[in-house]
Amino acid sequence: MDYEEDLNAPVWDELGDKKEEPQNELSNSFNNLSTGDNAIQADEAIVASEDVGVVLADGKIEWRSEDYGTPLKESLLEQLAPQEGTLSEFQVAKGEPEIASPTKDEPLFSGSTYLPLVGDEEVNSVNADPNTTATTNGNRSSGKPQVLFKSARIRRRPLSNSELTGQKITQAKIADPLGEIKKEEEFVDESLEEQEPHERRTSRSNTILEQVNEPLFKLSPKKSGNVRSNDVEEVAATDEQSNGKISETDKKLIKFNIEVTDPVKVGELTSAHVEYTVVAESDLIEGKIARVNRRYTDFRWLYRQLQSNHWGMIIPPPPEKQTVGRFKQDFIENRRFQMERMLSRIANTFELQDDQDFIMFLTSSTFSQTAKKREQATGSAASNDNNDLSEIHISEIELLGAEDAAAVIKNGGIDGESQKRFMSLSFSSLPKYSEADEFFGEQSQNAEILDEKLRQLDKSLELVDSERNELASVTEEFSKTIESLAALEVTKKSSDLLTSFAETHRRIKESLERGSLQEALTLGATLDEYIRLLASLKAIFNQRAKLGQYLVIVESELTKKHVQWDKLQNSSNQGNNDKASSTRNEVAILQRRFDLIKKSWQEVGYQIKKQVTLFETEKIKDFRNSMEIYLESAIEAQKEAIELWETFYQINL
Amino acid sequence: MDRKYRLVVKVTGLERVGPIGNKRENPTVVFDVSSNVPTFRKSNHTKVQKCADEFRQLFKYLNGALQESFIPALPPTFTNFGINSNDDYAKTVANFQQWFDRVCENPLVVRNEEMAFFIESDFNTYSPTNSFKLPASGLKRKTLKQLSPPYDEVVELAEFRPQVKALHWGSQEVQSKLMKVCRARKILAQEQNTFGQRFATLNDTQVLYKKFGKILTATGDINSVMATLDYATLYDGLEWIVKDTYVVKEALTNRHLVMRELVQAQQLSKTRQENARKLRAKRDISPLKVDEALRQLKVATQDENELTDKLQRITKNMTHEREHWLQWYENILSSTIKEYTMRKIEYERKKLTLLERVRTDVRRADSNGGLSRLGRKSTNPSTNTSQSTEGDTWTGEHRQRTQVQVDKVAHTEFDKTLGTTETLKNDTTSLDARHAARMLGLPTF
Repeated sequence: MDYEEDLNAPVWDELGDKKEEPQNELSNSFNNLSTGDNAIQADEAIVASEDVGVVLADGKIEWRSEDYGTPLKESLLEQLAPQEGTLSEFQVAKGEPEIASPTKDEPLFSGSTYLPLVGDEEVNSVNADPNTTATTNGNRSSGKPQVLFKSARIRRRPLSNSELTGQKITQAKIADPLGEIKKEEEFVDESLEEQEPHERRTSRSNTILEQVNEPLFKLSPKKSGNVRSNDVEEVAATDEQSNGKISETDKKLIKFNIEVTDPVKVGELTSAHVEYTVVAESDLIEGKIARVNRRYTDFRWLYRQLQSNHWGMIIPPPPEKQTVGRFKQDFIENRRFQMERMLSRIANTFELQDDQDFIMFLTSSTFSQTAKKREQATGSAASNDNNDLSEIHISEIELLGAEDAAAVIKNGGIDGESQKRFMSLSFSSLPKYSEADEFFGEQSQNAEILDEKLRQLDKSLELVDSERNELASVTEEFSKTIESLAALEVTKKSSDLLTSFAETHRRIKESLERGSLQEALTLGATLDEYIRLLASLKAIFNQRAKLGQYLVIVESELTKKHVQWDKLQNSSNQGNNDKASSTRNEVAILQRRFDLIKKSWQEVGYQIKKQVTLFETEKIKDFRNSMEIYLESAIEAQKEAIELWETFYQINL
Repeated sequence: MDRKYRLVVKVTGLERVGPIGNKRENPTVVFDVSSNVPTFRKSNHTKVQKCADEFRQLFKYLNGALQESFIPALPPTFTNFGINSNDDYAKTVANFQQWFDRVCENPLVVRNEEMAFFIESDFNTYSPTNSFKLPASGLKRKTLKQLSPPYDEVVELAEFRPQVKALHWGSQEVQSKLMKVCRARKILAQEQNTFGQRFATLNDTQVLYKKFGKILTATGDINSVMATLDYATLYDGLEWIVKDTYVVKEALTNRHLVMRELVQAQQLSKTRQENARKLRAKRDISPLKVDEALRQLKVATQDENELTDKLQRITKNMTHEREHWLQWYENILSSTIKEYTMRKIEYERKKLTLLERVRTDVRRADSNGGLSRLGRKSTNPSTNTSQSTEGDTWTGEHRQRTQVQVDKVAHTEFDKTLGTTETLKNDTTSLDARHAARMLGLPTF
């Protein structure tokens, strides 16, 4: 297929050559248009001829009207928007025909932290009232949720309280006649967030709900004093804070206390599985404490879901799958321990601890349904769980937004879609993505090496462990035969000696067993965990590579479309007008995709770098800790052994 | 018991020469002899050399000829320390010394002329000049052993044989189990070794991992040494017990055979007597027949009397020697276990020293370690060894040791490979008064 690659190559080269000149020419005007958005790329500059601008503006307006498809929300936005200072900027951008605006939306709002909130709202409203499910779904499919919560986020000054509340309550009432009563019972998460005002008061709908739920808060014992009276001020304060810095997050880790206990075998034959009780205690949880039953697959789901929610984050991994001997006591205990570690690791990671799916996992009593809904909403494909923890799935919804994702998925995914088109044009293969930043190659190689070493070490330790157990069991046998020798009672003295000799050996055996258990729990557990963490680390490299792959595909498509469009433009044939405008649309869509992917790609790259350094320091700390515990316990075991022999010596010899 | 005659043997050395098989199986024992037994040509012999094969010949003869005694089994000719080690030399010499001591305690042996022949013959030329006859041997012996033992009015000896037999099998069982334990320990040592090595390569840049890995490797090595020592102490000790119980058991079997012979002889003399009485009652007696019958009766009675005497002698001597033997068994068992235990303690202590050596490094790696993980103030790991002349830090028991003993456990065979040049904090140099007093005042245990 070299031939195809050759075909592609010149296109790239041309692109590269072109880059230089138009960028200079256009950068000024472009900058004017883009209102200081610095995320604009050279490639955009090519597109940014004036004609394109006009065309794109049309396209954009189309989207917009689609975006605000739900009349409720649109009107709400109209009401709120004009009063908001920051938004005016946005509106200027929106009003003017301007290509960069889709891009411009992104840097402000597409941070992975915000996305889940949209889902939050959706799921919650689904929870709240089954009757409105259809409507919400409609919102989700057509809606452009970023815009909605964006407005809330940017609002600099709170609206006058009464007005706002009044409006919102009416909104809620219209949307959900049964809501008030139901919500009082069910809005578990929301009230919690109210307790942690800094955490996630970002979505506008959340604010609505807070307002709606106000009476409920007053009942909450925790808030009793200040919140009741200062509720509004607090909201204001939060808004101001979030205004000051978009990505500002409160750096305080909320304490979690999670236990996985009581493994119980459930079901018969084919449906048999083990259910564990997950008890979580934290301020992030409604009622402070939650107790739910979860099975292993649910933990896998959580891993995949978090992976999809937080690109570039190393997600604490669940234990490996195992088909045989799933109901053995040792295995279950080991798994329980590993899963507990996983949850507490998640809970101790700042970015993950308030993830709504995590909270849902800890609290929801209707987990399987909610999980499915969440999975659909985010396109995480979390239940299509690959055995290999490092395999990843990039959610089109997260990447491109719900509406475009639907189109992409219909055509068989980003790569599938392009493949189809390529096939019709030529027999081209997919363009190859090569990582430009050495860091990633190097790091992923390091991870491979470390993984190999750890695996070997783990295997070695396992062998040591099994041999130690073997030794313990033969020592037991040994001690038994000594005992039978003692039972001969050849002489009183020899018999006594042999009896206590046997006894000492039995004690030694116990000590050996404890030692191997200790070893498994300290070094063994750490090794095992790090092997899986490495898989999780590899997963984020895979995410980056996958995004890069998409990026390359979309980029090559985009150039092709450009060429096509240019041709149509030049021919200026009357009959080509329709074709031209559809091509123009396609270019616009592709451009948007390209920008989104590029953005994610860069963000993931940035996140990975952060995570890798964090991982390194964590690794050293964890290893050192388990080394120390291992060493200390080995020393203690050693002292015990000496003591046993010393005692034996003194008493009998 | 009269100790008119005495034979004193002092084993002075051991030579292993020739091919490897010969070195192991047939070493030459060098010893001095002093005796007042008239069978000896002179009272003192120095540097007598006898190889193990000659010992075996002597033993075979003594065991066959002196059916009244439990002749001590020969000690193993090599130990599991490995034939080149000093431990092996000392142990084998000591074993042969012990054998001589036991043998020379037995007046029957001392007075036996073969003993003199053995000592006074030239090196490597001894073979028994007298012959002996076992009550039964080969297939006959095997068959007779299957029969139930004859009635024995001496309860002690009647019970002794099954007991010794059980002891024989029991010890063998223990040996085989011990072998398993040692093998398991060796494999464990091997795995610990590889684990340590892999740990050392985990991170090339950090010395800590390397050091930790090396310590792990060294503890693995210690385990391997311990396996060898277990083998050399307990296994070899049991080996002697196994051999000796076999000899005792066979001697007791011989007694049974003699008893059986006696029963037969009694029956024979009875029938002969019957025969003679019948002849006397008959009228037409030929004087030839009468003579024949009387002669047979006489022979039978004499045989019976001889056997009765022999059995009495055997029974008496064995009852006496049984006590001796039990004493010996008790002693050797306890000394074997003692040796085993002491080695165990020594090497477990060495392991502890090794582990504690890396302790400070691990703790120093970050300040959040140690007690601070439990929310306590991180204290400096002050003393890094818990074993010193003051005793052990972990026990309230007062154990005083000499500096020599402490030094012994403070250094291991693997110190060189560890590459830790730092000497331990046990300063042997500062010899204050208290220290010196302790060193002088305490004997080694």
